[in-house]
Amino acid sequence: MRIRFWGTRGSIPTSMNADHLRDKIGAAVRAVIEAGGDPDAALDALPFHMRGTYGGESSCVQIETDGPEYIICDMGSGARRLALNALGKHGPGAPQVYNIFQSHVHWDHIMGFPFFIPAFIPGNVIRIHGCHDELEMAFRRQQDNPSFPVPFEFLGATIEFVKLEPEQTYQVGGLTVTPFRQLHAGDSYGYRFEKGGKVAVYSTDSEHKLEDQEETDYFVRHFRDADAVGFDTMYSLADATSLKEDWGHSSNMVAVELCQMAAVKTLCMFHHEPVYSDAQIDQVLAETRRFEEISRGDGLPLHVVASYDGLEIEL
Amino acid sequence: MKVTTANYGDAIVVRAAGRIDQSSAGEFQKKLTDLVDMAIGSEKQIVVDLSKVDYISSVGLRALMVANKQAKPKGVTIRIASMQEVVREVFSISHFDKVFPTFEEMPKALQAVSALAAAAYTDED
Ligand SMILES: [Zn+2]
Ligand SMILES: [Zn+2]
Repeated sequence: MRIRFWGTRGSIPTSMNADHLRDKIGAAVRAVIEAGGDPDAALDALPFHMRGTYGGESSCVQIETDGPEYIICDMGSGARRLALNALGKHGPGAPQVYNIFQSHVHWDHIMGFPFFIPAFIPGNVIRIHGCHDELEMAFRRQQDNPSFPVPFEFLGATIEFVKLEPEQTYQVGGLTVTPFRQLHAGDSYGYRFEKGGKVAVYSTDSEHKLEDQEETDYFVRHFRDADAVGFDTMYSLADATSLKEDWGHSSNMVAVELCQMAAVKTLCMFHHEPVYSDAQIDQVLAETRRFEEISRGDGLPLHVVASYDGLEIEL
Repeated sequence: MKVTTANYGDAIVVRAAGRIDQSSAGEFQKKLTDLVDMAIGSEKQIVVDLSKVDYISSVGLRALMVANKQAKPKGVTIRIASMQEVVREVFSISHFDKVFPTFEEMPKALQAVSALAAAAYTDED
């Protein structure tokens, strides 16, 4: 099982502007000159925020197995690149099955669909799975006049909406999938994917307070022993408990605590705050790793990564 | 975890000891919110002495935030003093150090409350 992150930013896509990019290039060039020697090696040795970027596409994560069908979590703006990659790989004349699992239908999680080219191509099968009654309505509505020039009915692929029930287990695309209800305005759902002894959990847009033991146990049960959990770490704990309380998102600290309770192996920080620069996300990552050390106790180490657009994790 | 309180002039000092985590945060929060009520009624300020606290988890910090939300609109400031290194790090990682005024030592926190509180504290310790 391999996880491929196509969109990792929360709430709204973002990109660097000319000044941000110039600052980044300037700092990298100066550091490489100062290091001397092989410039490529010097570049590779720089911290991630100096040599790369977390990217700014909104939520879209692919789970690859050796099976032929696509498994995709959320249709945020990152879905556009996923689609281009898929078409590049198979060509437009080779129909595919795309299984999509929607955490919910907030705009940042569906906005990539009108640009998801496989949906335009007859022969492709697109199954959009979710637990919300409004699933189909939300996808159709965003392409309605006057919001988009191409109505949903115009799409050439066979598109099916599949209503799932939380806590029920399904077999889709060679994977065992279990949705579970999360804490977000209008509800959101996490998904636990299992295959061949490997477990990946997609859990975004959920505000965990960890005050209610029963509620905490419920999430620990769905995260239990996962190889990787993609988790909404949008805010600092201070913001998540004050200014942005009840906005439906969690913090890096709560992510670490929940994953430790569930003996998760890798935490993938996800749904990054759009105002954060690459340097800020790098700093949050370093702090999260430190918090993991502090809070670990007698438990096993939890590996912490900050997901970025383009990251691939082999489980 | 244990919580004791003392009064120094117009400062109510809350001394917690042990770990403030899942198992103790509820009790910590109850104690804090009661003390905030008392502080509001008697126009006092609150200083939380964390010198004996080895660890504070997210729920423990959340309890402090709940108390702060109750205190702040009524003019009561919750000051945090004497954090151990690990607790200070957790404050920084959580950004709680941006919300609460923090002091390395108790006398400085009491000075920030008032000269009266600082004097009362010095007399006793
Ligand atoms: Zn979102
Ligand atoms: Zn949302």
